[in-house]
Amino acid sequence: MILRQNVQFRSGFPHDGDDDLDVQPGRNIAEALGAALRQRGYRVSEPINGGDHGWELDVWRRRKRIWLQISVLAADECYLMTENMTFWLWPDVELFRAFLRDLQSVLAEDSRFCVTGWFSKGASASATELADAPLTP
Amino acid sequence: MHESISEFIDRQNRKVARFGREAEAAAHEAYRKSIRLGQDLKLSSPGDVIRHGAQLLQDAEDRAARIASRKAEEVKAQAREALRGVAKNPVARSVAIDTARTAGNVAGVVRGGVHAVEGVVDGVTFLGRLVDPLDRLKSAPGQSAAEQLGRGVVNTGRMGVDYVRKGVADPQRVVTDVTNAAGQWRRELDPSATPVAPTFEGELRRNFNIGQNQGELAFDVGSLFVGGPAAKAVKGLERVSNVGNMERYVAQGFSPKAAAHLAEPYPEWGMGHHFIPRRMGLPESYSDSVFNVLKPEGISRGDFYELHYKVDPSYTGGSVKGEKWNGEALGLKKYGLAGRIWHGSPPPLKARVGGLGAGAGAVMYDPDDERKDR
Repeated sequence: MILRQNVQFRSGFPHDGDDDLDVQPGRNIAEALGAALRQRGYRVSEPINGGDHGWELDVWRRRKRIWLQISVLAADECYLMTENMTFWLWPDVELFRAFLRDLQSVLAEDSRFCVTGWFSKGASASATELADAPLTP
Repeated sequence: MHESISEFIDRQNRKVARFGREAEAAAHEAYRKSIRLGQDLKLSSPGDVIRHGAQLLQDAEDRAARIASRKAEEVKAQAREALRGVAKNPVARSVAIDTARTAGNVAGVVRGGVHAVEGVVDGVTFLGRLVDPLDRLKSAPGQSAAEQLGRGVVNTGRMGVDYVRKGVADPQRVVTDVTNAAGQWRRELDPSATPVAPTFEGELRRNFNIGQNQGELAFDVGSLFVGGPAAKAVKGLERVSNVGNMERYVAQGFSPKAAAHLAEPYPEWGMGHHFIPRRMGLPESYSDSVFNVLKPEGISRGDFYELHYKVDPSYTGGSVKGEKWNGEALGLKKYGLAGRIWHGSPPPLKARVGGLGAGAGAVMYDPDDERKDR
């Protein structure tokens, strides 16, 4: 099974960055994602300012953590990166897969997200063929 | 210069003679006082005079010690009272605990430095013996540096092999060991991992000790690579600064407004690049320290974004005055692991390997090689 943990999307959210204070946009996106994930039973942190990266969320299922980063380059080019932060010696792959499926449905259900495609960690969105789903056989 | 035996005996004799004179003076003073007050004081021989004087001197010394001890107790009581006052106020209490931990951080960094110097001194001594052709002759049988080194390597290797063999036979043992080590580490570094002390004083001490451990960890991890920071800093001066060079960013396709923003110096409050990402959950005292945050001085925003793009796999770009900044679109390439370690580590992190690898690396370092990739 191929696992693609990053997603490129277009955003229907208003620009909420502040150039004078070097605050990147995307906080409103992080808040919306956090609320939707909470409804699916995850414990989610408040949006964390990731500096030049954008905004981050820590998402927990029980005591296991998944990290999520939102980078808004422009309304037509946003990125969502995820990382499985469960213990590296025995990563909980099943949990991560379930999370990616949930994330996929969250993005599909909110019309403000328009997913361009999913891609693997370390790959470049423009140099790789984007997939419709995070998990493909 | 060392003191000889005869000099030591002379010094002791002078000390005894001085004590004798002081005792005699004290006895005479007491005798004069007894005559003034009409008291009976019989000192019939020179021995009686010295004995009585010595007793008077001893009494005076004891009295002074008692007064000093009483004063110390008073100061201690005042300090305890002040602590009780702070303990009653939740805000002051929290500030005091934070302050204790910060003080511990500083003390820990110093402790780390002391330990590192001790290690270096030991290492240098050992290395000196290792290259000394006469070491084997000068050392007791089996104790030469070469023999010790050989034993160490063999023993370490044997222990490693034994551990792997036992681990294969009993995997739970490895899990337990790792869990124990992680638990111990957490207890030493995380204030929430151990119970709060029953007294405020105890809590301050607990936080100071944890702060010290955190500080030493910060030093140890932070100075892993050290050695070339000064050299790199000097070479860093050669970096062509693009602060104020709007044209460079206009040429990249940005509007004059965005180009002006990119040509500004990267702000002091900017978060910089975290060598070990913040998501790894290291203590903030290390994660946000100069050992982990790369933020070169005098660099423009635009140049910092370019550097950040190359050294950080999770940085794609951002928004600049409403315009898209995308490293890939600018033709930049991300570094591989070695490049990320070298170019992405802050100078203070390159400070402990001493004049070895990092020193050599500093010679190899060329600030412009970041641009050659484009």
